[in-house]
Amino acid sequence: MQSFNQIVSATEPEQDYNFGYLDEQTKRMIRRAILKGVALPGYQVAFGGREMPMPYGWGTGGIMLSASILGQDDVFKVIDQGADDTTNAVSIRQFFAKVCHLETTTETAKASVIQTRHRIPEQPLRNDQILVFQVPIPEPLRFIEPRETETKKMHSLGEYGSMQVKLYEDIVKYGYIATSYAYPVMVHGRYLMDPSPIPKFDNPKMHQSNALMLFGAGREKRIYCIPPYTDVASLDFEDHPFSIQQWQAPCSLCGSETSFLDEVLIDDQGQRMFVCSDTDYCQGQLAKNAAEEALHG
Amino acid sequence: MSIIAPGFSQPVEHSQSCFRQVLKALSEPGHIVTLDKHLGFAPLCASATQILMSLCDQHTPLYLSPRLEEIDGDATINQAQRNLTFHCNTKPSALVNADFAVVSHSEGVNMAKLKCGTDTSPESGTTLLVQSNGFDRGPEFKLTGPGIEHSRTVQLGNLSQSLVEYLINPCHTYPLGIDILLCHQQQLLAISRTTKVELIPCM
Repeated sequence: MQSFNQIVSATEPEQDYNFGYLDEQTKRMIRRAILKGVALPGYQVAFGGREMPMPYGWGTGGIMLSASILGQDDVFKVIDQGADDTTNAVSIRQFFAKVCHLETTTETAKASVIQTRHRIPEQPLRNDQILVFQVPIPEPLRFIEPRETETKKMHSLGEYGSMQVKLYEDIVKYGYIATSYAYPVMVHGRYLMDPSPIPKFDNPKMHQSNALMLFGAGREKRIYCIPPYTDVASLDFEDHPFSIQQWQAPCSLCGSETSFLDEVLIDDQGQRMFVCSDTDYCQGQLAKNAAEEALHG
Repeated sequence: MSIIAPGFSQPVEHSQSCFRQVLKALSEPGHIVTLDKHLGFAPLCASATQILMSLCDQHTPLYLSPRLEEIDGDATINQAQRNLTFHCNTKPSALVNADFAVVSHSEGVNMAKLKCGTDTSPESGTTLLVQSNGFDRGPEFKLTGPGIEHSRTVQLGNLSQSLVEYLINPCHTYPLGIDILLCHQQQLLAISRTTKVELIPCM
């Protein structure tokens, strides 16, 4: 004789998680926080972060944002330092394929929602795409002022002189602004914002971007947003204007001279090569080179 | 005796798709989006009902203006409130305490009384839904600001003097303020507190 459970499992498809893992109540709360964040570009909105089935530091903030915005028709891409094939990117992509049953991709152009850790794709984004950032420490002033009560006041008063002093100390010590990632920006001329640990190379892509950008910090439980076509200015000085990283040589694989390069050790003798950090872009360039070669013999 | 009408037929999918439309509208002020998953609880229009159903719950005090009844003579605001309470468990509230408020386009609203957030928590400002009488009538406005590439020209319907005044010259200074969602039938157009609104003089 069949047990009740056996009968149920024979007739019903496997009961799994709610769409997007989070419950509806949590999604609504996060959605309201996102909307207020969009109305206040660069301002950190506190939200009730939930425990996710992975530890803090693995992108729980970004995952909660993605879970709240993704729908059945979305095509989802995840990158970790630009790469689609690292542990973090693969596991988050598999997580959403499992809890949303949605289509995933590694191609930037095909994706409607891109979750990213520490990079903005090289290929310019479109207006119908949303970029979700994983943020470890959302407060740009945290290492200057450890007290949340004080940084909240500094934001409400627009009191950001201390951040300029920090950059000035760089100049005094090194002769130039040595901050090369998580480079502070002013959003819509009002809020100082930490763009998450993206290289400063990516900062100009945020200015007047076509795509909506959402930032989620899981441990710190903060959400902030930059709507499309918003002014995002990297802090600098008149005599030390903001500049981005440059490399001596092109990418060793695809030969791109315009993309952000990673230094990779290739043997025990300390030999190294420089390759594109954006794997999808690098593969696209390689395919383009191959097609051109075939055309011109 | 009031009758409870059905809510979303697919609550999870439909609230997600409505939210994405609201997100699109608010991140690109002046852009008109369509919400077509529900017919609405009269006298609330379809888009206003869907916004409330996808975003409201027991944590969001809701104000529905009695003036909305003028739009649809047969339906009472109590009926709509009962339906929303049943489907999303929202509590009715006074205008001054509301997180979400729905008013009619022709209504004089004392905007200074609405919640506008505090210096340290500007996000606690009210989201004001205004039921417009169409985005093809009324004076023309020029919108600029975040979410708008250059500028956008929109018509918002025949809004009351107090609403027009607030749009052009808000009594709150950014970052404090009220985010306005204009609803007409299935259409939604948002004006964020960052949006600069100018009246285009009639020729």
